[in-house]
Formats: sequence, structure tokens, C-alpha cells
Amino acid sequence: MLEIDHLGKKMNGIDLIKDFSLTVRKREIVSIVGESGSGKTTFIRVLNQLDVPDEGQIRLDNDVLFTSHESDKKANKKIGLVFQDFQLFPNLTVKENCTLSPILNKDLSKKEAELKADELLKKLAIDDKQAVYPKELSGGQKQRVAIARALMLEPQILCLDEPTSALDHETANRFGELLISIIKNDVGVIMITHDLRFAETFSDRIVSSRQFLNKS
Amino acid sequence: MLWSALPSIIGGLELTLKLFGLVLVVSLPLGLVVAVVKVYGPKFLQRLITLYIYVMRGTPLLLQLMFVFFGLPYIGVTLDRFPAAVFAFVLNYAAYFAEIFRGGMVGVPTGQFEALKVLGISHFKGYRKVIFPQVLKTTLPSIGNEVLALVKDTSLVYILGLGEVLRAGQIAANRYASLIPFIFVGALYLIVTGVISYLLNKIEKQYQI
Repeated sequence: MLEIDHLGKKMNGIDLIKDFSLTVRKREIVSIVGESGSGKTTFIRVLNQLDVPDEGQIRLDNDVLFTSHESDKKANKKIGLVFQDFQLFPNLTVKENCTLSPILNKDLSKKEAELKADELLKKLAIDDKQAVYPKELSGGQKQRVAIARALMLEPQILCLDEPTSALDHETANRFGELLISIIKNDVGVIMITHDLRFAETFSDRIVSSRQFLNKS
Repeated sequence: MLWSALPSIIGGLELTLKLFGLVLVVSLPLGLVVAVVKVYGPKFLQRLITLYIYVMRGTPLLLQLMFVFFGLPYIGVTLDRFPAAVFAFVLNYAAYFAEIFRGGMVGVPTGQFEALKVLGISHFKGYRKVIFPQVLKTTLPSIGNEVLALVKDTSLVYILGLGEVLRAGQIAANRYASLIPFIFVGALYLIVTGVISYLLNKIEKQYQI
């Protein structure tokens, strides 16, 4: 269970997030909705330690992952992120994108990492593209590769930044079903989205970004 | 006539190629290191490198050659003609390569660095496997231009009295009062730059993913 406790983050002296707390359980999809500039992306960046929080504590199963001044070195692997623009590595094939981190960090041998990537890519129905480079993929395919890359590290929480922004209605629905199958492996999902219909259909809970500043 | 001038022209070509090879092998990695320090290094080193690049790009290479060979002895550093030429060329070309690499580095989207961080990949490993190949891909055409310019710039070492290929051709042209040695030397330059262009194209294609 992820516990975000009294989180605070200022940008240019202005509070974007103040005294915000949230709990995300395993097998739960939480959507965060709200207008542009309301701190949604900042929130997800803080969760993934791309920005440092000013206040508060992030815990996972009662272990402190990080605060404003300290951080567990393995925190990055426990919370995964799929960027809005995916940020696949253009010089690496789909499979290499997936295996890079586990191999470089010696979490898995090359063979183990490749087997795991095979399995994940198959599950995400993109195994036929494992030898191609990202520029040859469609938006939806890139997204699935980005998800596979994040899942390779077996995160307990998967964050998704505007996952349906590049998808048509039908592909978005398929993606929602994919999310439901992903959380069955004891993963919790935090999703930032503008797509209220999608959030209502596929989330267990919807949180408004107005709550970042404790507004109702 | 050409036959009798041939050994000196070929000797000149050897010197040209030796200078070219040495300068390239040293200045390319040095340029990369300079670029890394300029982008990621401490502020005072960044300022120092900015000044170094400004001086190297803002003054003629010919002047730099003269300064290294004729000027440095005044402060007690005396170099032979060839090492002096290599030193001046390396300093000059490393500055140009550094600017090219720096441009490539700042052109890599911030999101790529963030993706590496989110995946728990260290700066060094991430740079080696992800960032540098992207930098190389975008900078290869500019590096290619500089490499070809280097071949031709080597002719400037005549100022130090080194017998590179153009100087050898000029001596032959003066001796025989003929333009043929010049035409021959021009053809040699075209062959050398042609081979280098071919190799550069092959390398570029390898990186065009």
C-alpha cells in the first residue's frame, strides 16, 4: 500500500500541492483529474523523484521511500512511470528498451531479462515488434512498450501520465482492460487524465487535483 | 617530370596523412571530454572552456600554429615542427569538436534523462548506452564536415617549414614551371577526401536508426 502523507510542493514560491495525503492500495486504480496547471504532472514527478517534495513523506508498505531530504535508493524501482510521450530510447529496439535497466543494474542476467521481456511483450500483445525501433511504432504500440519497460522492474505502483491522450476511443478501452489485467499482479495504478469518461469507466477512485490544495 | 617529383609528393602525402590521423585520434575524444565538462562541469571550468573555445574559434589556425612554434619558446616551451603542428591542430580542432558535441548533448530531450532516472539507471551507464549514441547520430554530419576540413587545413603547416603534400607540389611546380604537380596534388586531395567521405557515409548510415 502506498501512503502519501502531508505532501507539499511549491513552484516559484506558489503552493501547487499542500498538505495532501492519499493512499493507493494494491490492485487499485486511482485517477487524478483536474484542469491544466493544477499540479497533476508535478505530483507524478514528485512521486517518481523527478522533483523533490518540500514537505511530507511517501511510504510503501510502511517503509519510508522518500521525504524532502532522504530517499531509499530502490525507490525508483518500486514506483514506475509511463511518460505522456513515452520517452522510449530511440537508439534501442523494443526489447532492448525493456531489458536495459535490469541488465545494467544487474537485477537479472541478460538471458533472464530477455525471457521476462518476451513474456511481458507477449502479454501486452506487442511481441511481434520486439526487434523494431520505437520510430516504427504507432502511439498505442509505443505506450505498450513503455508499460512493458516499466513493468520489467516489477514496480508496486505504476504511474501513468495522460495515458489516453494519444489514443482513440476503441484503443483507450482496450488500454483500460489492459490496466485491469496489470493490477491483478498486485500492482496499484495512479493515473493522471483529462479523460473523465475513461477515468469513470476504469478507475476504482477518482481524485480531483483541487484536493492538492485541500479544496473541495 | 611528374615522375621525378613523385617521391617528394608521396612523402608529403605521408606527412599530411600522419598529421591528419594523429590530430583526429586525439582531438575527437578530447573534444568530447571538453564538451562534457562544458555542459556538466563546475561553473569555473565551464567559464574557462568558454574562453578556450572563443580563442580557438576566434583566431586563425595559421596564427595559432605560429604562436605554438614561434611563441611558446619565449616561455621556455620548445617543440619540434611536427609536434608543434600536432599540438596546435589538436587544440584548435578539439574546440570545434567540443562545440559540435555540446550542441548534440543539449539537443537530447530532457525526458530521456528523466526516463533513465525513473528506470534507476546511473548517469554514466545511461550516457554510454542511451545518450551518447543519440548525440553521435545528430552530430555525425557536422563532425564529417570538420574531418574533411582537417584534411585540407593540414596544408597550413607549410608555415612551419613542414613538407606536406601541397608544399611538395608547389616546390615541384616551381622547379618545372608547370601546373601539373598542382593538378596531381589536387587529385590526391580528392582521393583522400573521397575515401574519408565514403567511410563517414558508412558510419552515418550505421547510426541512422
